Amino acid sequence: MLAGCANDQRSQRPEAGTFHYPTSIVADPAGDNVYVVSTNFDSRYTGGTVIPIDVATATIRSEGTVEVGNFAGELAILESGGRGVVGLIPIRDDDNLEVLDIDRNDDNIPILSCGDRKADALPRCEPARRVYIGEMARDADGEIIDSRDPFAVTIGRQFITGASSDDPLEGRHPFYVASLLDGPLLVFTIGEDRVPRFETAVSLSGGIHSLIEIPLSTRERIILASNRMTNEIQVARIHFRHSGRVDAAAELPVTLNQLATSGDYFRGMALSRDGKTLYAVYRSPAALALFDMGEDGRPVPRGLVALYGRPGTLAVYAPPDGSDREWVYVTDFWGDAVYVVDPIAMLVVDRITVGSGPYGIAIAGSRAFVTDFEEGAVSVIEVDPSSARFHEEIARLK
Amino acid sequence: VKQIRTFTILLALAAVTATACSSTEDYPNRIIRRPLGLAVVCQEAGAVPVPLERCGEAGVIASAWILDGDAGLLVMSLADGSHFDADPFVPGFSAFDLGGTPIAIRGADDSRNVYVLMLEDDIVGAPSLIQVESEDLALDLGFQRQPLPCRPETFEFAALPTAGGDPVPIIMVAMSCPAGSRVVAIPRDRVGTLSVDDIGLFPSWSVPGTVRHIGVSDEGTVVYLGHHAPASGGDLLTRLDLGMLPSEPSASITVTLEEPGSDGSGDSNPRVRGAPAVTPDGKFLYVPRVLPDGVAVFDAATLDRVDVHAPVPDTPDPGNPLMQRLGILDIPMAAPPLFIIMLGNGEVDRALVALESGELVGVFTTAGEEDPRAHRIELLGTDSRSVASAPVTRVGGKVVDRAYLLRADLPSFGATEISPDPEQEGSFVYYGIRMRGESRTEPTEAWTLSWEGRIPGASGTEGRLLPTDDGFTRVLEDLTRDFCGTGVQAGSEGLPSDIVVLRPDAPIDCGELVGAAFEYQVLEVRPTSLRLAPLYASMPLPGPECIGDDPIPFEVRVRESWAVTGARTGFLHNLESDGDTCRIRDDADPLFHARALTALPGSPGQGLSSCPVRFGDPEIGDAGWAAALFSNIAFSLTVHPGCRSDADFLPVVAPTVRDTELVFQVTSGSNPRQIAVGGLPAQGFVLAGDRIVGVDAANGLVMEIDPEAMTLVQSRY
Repeated sequence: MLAGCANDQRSQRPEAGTFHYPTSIVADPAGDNVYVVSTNFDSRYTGGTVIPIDVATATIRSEGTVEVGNFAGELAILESGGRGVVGLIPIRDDDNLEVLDIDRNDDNIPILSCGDRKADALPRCEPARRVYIGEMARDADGEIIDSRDPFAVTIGRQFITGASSDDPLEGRHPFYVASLLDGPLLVFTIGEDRVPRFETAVSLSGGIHSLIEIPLSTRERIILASNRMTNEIQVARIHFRHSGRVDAAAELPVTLNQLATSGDYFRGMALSRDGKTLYAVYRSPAALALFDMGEDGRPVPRGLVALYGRPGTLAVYAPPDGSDREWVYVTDFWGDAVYVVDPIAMLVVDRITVGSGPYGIAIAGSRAFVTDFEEGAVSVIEVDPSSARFHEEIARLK
Repeated sequence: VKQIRTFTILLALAAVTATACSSTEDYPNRIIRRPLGLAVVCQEAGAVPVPLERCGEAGVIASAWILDGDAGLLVMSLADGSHFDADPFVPGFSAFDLGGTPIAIRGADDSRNVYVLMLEDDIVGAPSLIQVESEDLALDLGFQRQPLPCRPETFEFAALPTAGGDPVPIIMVAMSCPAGSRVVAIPRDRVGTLSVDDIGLFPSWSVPGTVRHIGVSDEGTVVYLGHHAPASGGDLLTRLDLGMLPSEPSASITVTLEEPGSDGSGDSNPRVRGAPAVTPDGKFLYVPRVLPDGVAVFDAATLDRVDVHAPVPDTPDPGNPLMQRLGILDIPMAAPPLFIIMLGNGEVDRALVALESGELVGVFTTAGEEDPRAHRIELLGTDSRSVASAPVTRVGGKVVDRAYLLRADLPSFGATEISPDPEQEGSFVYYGIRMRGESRTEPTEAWTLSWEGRIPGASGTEGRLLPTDDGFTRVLEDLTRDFCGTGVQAGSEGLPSDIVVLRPDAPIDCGELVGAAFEYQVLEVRPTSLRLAPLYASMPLPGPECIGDDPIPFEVRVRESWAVTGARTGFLHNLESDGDTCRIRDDADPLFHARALTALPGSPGQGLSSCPVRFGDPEIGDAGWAAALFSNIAFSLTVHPGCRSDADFLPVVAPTVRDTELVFQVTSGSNPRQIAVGGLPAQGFVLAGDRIVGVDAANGLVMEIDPEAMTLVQSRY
């Protein structure tokens, strides 16, 4: 009886080499590792994790794992010297932004930490490396903009203004965080000190899933925000001024023709290699939405490629053969599969079966890594067309 | 063997219930997952295939063969909606597993065969064209798999003329090969019997780029290819005359779909979304394209582009001046068109255009007795009028609820209701907005009036201030802008000159100039520069000592007026760039106009007669009201000022805050005759008898449509 009433939720530390309801996955800019975010969706452990996987060998690098908060959102990686050095991850459970250090050990394995890392224990974020962002923003009247439930994050192009060294933005990166609940877009910058500096905020609609930055110039950026609760790609214009002041304004969103009323609309987004096309996962109906990018940074709807099930996120792969070909890989959460779309032909050219509940996907080298949310696994797919195992699941890591 | 195979589709479908526990009732749940298209097969007793045109006859049973990209080939009786279960031992309905990646399906007009194009065929280990005999349904279908040498793109039935004999039925298969794009004519009766090398023996045509779509003339001997070649002008259209040898110069004609005036550099993204379709009279070719969404029309013989909005010769029809002004040649559609079904009944030739948004829209392909214009959208009626919605007022970016009714201190169009129009019998004035009454030039879209609003496309961040000889004015140059083309002006016909607001990155504290934003009037407009002069003596133009050499962000706004912008129509004006200057366009028309004034009393500070301001207020005067009447090609209105009481409780004008917006929606009276067929219709609706059969990807429904009545007869999972 006593045992039946016991509640051991969040009492155990997560395991360093085990995925537990993984969602987001991101490739290191070096292309040699991917980072898998486990969300601890059932609150079994004290937190989630970020676990590196070696791309070449498709092996879990548990020695590099770090514990993060529960219900993490997307992960963004800051690059320096051709490899990732900082990870930024919003935590929905406590509305924090956690700043992860990414170092390499002697074997070039990424070692993640979030404060002091003890050799014999799974590191977790120290308070100093967690920034509470739930009530950081104020509107013009000084009222708090509710920024709880942060989910989407992206890092923008570094400011190389060529201006004098007293330019407060010189060398910094902009990065953006948006909330799933109420939809504010928070604008930060981050520099060598790895301390995020909040700049400004702008209110968008609740339901933001993914963000993409379109740099119009060094100081003027467009942010595209996919929205899962409204039929909109939302648009915000950010102006980083010489003076250091940052202005942000919401513009008219981009919508698609309403074909279904599922209440579930956009999910993951990515740009084509040439930046001329925006790909967005859509659920009303299940489809890959293609947009032509206008010179003003606004997407213009071009068409839908029909899919099935519950598509989640996507990744773009262009083979290193000098051709202009590329394919879009879209996860289908329902169908336990990954669709492969030729965006020029607007055609599904393959469908690859993976583990249960695929959601996140990242491509590094010639392999796609897919987080299988329900199975607690990562499926590895060969995407090199010249490979004998092209478009096969070559491993399922657990 | 053949006799054994004469289990018929009729028997098979009849046996469905017994063998596969199926029901003839409509299924409550979706069965088709990711439809790519369908073929229709019609058979009479004894499983004898009959031509599709006989599908509606008594004793003929039709079935739909649906290509499901995820599942395979599904077969459904159109008589009762039952599905054939390819594997009764697996719960649910099983499709025929095709073993690979299918991309397209076509059914022969004689119902004998269905063909599926496979991007990859696991059975043969190569791309293939699968031929299925419709009589073989009850067996484990003996698919005949024809290996293909290259990646297939699409295919279509055609006919190859022969010397003195009947044309040979062929299948034109477009492929992307290492050496380039090829279209190969494979005799239908040889499909499944050839080696890959054999295919090289048949006639083939090489074309640039990648062939995405194939259309065929009615008799099958002229083929139209839609191909995409970024290096050769983007989207191309080629006409192949199969009666001539490929080597003959006149055997093919190729044109580009680039818009007139484009730089010809092509586009990396294809804009043609579906197969070209020949009109029933054989004279024109319809091509569904996007951005802008519409149907491009070509002369089927010469491939000359047809401007469907041009004046009709020898008739009083002036064409559509708005479409001509916007440079649109095509039949406009409200969503991306995917494919076209041609319908000719001997009296009226029509086309049905399938839109991604799930509608089939009717189009007349020929002129009618009452309308001399061909290529026009069928309308529900000819007496429909366009309507406008109540204006929404936004101040400071926030919506003010029902301001036209509740807030006299804010500008409006002077009316709070819809009222009969005394000037046009049967028409109405919508909250002060009077439509012009020509619905063709009143497109459905949102219009925004913005007080001292930005001129779309004219503002920038890379402005540079250059000195002038007079030392008083300065030139703002931005090589990325086209100030003439966006409609910036230095003032004319009672309208004040536009203004430029400079917003340096950092606030300025430089002599007389202190602040973060500085306004100047436009004295002269050139394509990439504006000559500016001070608006006030206290605000001279900044010199380099104040702003340095950094580029300056700037806004270009209309002054003391409203910028009237249509969401699609944009900011209408009559200017264009001509070398180093601006000029008035040859087709200038006062109705292409986008600056509205507010009706104001004759002198500043003069009071009003009443508050809210009533139309005809004598303090504004006849001249004031007349000057404030705004008319463009779609509507007319008069902006009434907001008002308040002054210290003596007398009504006076309340000033309008910059960027105050009045937004309303126009719904065009041109209501297309259309029918909703679910969302995202899959390629290839089929005309079978007097019905059109198709499937949609949003819901997985197989639909039967009566194209004459434009009604949905049946839809089933």
